[in-house]
Amino acid sequence: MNRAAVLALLLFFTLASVVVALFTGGTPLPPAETLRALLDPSAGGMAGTLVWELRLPRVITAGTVGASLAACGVVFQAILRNPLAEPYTLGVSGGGALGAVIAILLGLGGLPMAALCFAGCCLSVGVVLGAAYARNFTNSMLILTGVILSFIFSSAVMFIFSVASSRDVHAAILWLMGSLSSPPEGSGAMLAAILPLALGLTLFARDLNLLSLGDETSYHLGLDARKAKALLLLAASLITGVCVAVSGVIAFIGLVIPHFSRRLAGADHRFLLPASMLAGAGFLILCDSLSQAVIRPLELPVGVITGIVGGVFFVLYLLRARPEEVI
Amino acid sequence: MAFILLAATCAFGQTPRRIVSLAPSLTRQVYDLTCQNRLVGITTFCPDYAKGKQVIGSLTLLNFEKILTLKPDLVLASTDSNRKNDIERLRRLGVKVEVFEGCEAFSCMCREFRRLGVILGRGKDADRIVAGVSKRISGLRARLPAEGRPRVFWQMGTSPLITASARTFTGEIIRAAGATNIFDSLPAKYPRVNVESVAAADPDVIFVVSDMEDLENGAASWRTFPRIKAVKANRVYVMDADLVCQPTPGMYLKAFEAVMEKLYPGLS
Repeated sequence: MNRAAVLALLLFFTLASVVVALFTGGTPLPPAETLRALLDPSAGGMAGTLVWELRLPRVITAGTVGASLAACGVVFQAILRNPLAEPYTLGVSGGGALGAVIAILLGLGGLPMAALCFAGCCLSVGVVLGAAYARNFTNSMLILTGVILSFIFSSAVMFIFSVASSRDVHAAILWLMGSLSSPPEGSGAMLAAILPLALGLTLFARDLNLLSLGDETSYHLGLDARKAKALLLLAASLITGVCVAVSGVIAFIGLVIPHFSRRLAGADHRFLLPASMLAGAGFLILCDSLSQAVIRPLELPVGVITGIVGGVFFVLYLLRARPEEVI
Repeated sequence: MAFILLAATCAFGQTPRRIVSLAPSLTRQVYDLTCQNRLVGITTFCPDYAKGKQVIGSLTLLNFEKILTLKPDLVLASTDSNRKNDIERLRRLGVKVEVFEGCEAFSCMCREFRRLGVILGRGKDADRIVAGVSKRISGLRARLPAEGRPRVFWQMGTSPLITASARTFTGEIIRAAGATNIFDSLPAKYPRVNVESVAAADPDVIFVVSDMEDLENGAASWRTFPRIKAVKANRVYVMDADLVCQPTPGMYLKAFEAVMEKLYPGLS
C-alpha cells in the first residue's frame, strides 16, 4: 500500500471512530435522535445537550490526547532508539502523579490540581534533561535517569498512599488509571495550546529521521544532535505533561501506536508522525466510547481499556510481524 | 392545618421533585426523611433498600449522560464522597448541585441533616428526627456507670492495622459512651498503627469493624495475643461495617447503641 493510501485509510478510521463515539456514549440514545441533534445544533432538547455538551467535547479531548501521546511516543522512540521508549520514559507520568496525588490530598480539584500535576511533570523532565545535559545527552543517561526518577516518584506516591485516607487513595488510583470523564476546567484551552505544538513536531520529521540513525551519524550528516534532542524531548515532554494533567496517566497509546503505525506507514517520520497521530486519536476515541458502553451505567477508567485492547492487539501484531519490522 | 402546611410547601414552589444522590450517606438521609419517591438516581454502594433506583455511576466515576437524562432538579453531593471536578462539571452543565459536608462531629451531622430537610421541604421532620436521636443518646448517657472508663481499641482495618483517632465520628462515639480510645491523641484521622503499640496499651475492649461476610476472621487474629486484657476477658467484638461507617444522625445513634451494648451489657 502506498503511503498516501495509508494516511487516507487512517483518516477514515479516525472519522469513523468519531461517528461511533457520537452515537454510543454513556446512555442509550436512539440513533435517529442523535442524528437530528447533530444536524440541528440549535434544536436543544436532551439529545442536543448530550451530543453537543458531553459527547463532542469528550471526543475532541480524547482525539487530541490520543494524537498527542502517539506523536510523543514516535519522538521518544526515534530519539532514544529504543523500542520500549514511550512518552512516560523520562518520568513525566511519575512527576505528574505525585503532583496530582498531593493535590487530591490537599482537597484541590479542577485547575489547581491540573497545575500541580503539570508542575510535577515539569520537575521530572527538568531533572532528567538537566542531568543528561551534563553527560553529553547520551541515550543511556536519559533512559536511566528517567527510570530512576520514576521509581523515586512512585515511592513518594506509595508513601503518601500509606498515610492518606482510603477515600483519597481510591480517588488517586482511579486518576492514575486515566479517565476522560471529567477533565478539569480550562483543559480545553490547555489542549488547544498543545495541539499546534504536537502538529509542529512534523516539521522536525527530517531531524528525527537523522536522529534515529544515531548521534554520530546524524552529526556527520550536519545535525547538532544535542540541541535537536534537547528541544524535541522538551517539547514532547511538555505536551505529555498537559495530557497527563487533563486526563491522568493513559497507558499504552504512546508505546503501541508508533509501532503499529511504523508497520503501516514505514519508518520515514514525514509519514510516520501524521499516521501515528491519526491512529492514536482514533484508537483513544474508540477506547473511550468502549469504556462508557461496556458496563453501563457504570464507566471504566479508559486506561483499563487501552491497556487490555491495546495489549492483546499488540501481542498478536508482534507474533505476526517479521523480526526486522519490530524497530 | 395540613392544608396550610401543604399550601406553604407549594408556595415555596421550589421543593425538588427529581433528586439524584451522589453518596450512599445522602441516599440514606433522603430515605430517613421519607422522600424516597422523589429520588430518581443513586450511586453504587447505596443501601440495599435503594435497589431498583437508577444507578448513575460509582462514587469516583459518574455517568454524566445518565444524570442528565434523568432530568434532576436537584443533585445531592458530599465533600466526603465526590470529587470537586465532578461537582464543577455538573454545575457547568446547568444542573443544580447542593453540596453537603462530610461530617465527623455529631453536631455537624445534625446541622447538615436539618439543611437537607429544609431543602426537601421536610424541615419539621428533620428537626423531629434529630430531637429524637439526641434524646435517646442523652437518655443512654444518663445511665452510664459512675466509675470505670473502659479503654478501647477500635480496629477499622485489619491488614494493614488501621484505627480511628479522636478527630473521627467513631472517636466521638467512644468518648460519648464513656470510654477512652487508646489512640485518641494521634494526629491523623485514620492512622495506621503497630500491633505492638496495641499490646502495650493493653485495652479492656477491642472493636473490630468488618464486613458481615467476614465476621469470624476479624476477631480471630487477636487470639494469638492472650495477654491483652480484652482478649483475656473475651471482649473482642466484631462490628458491622455498614453500621459504623455512615455519618448520618440515624446511623450515629445506631452505632452509639451498638457500642454501648457491647461496653455495658444489660444497660439498655
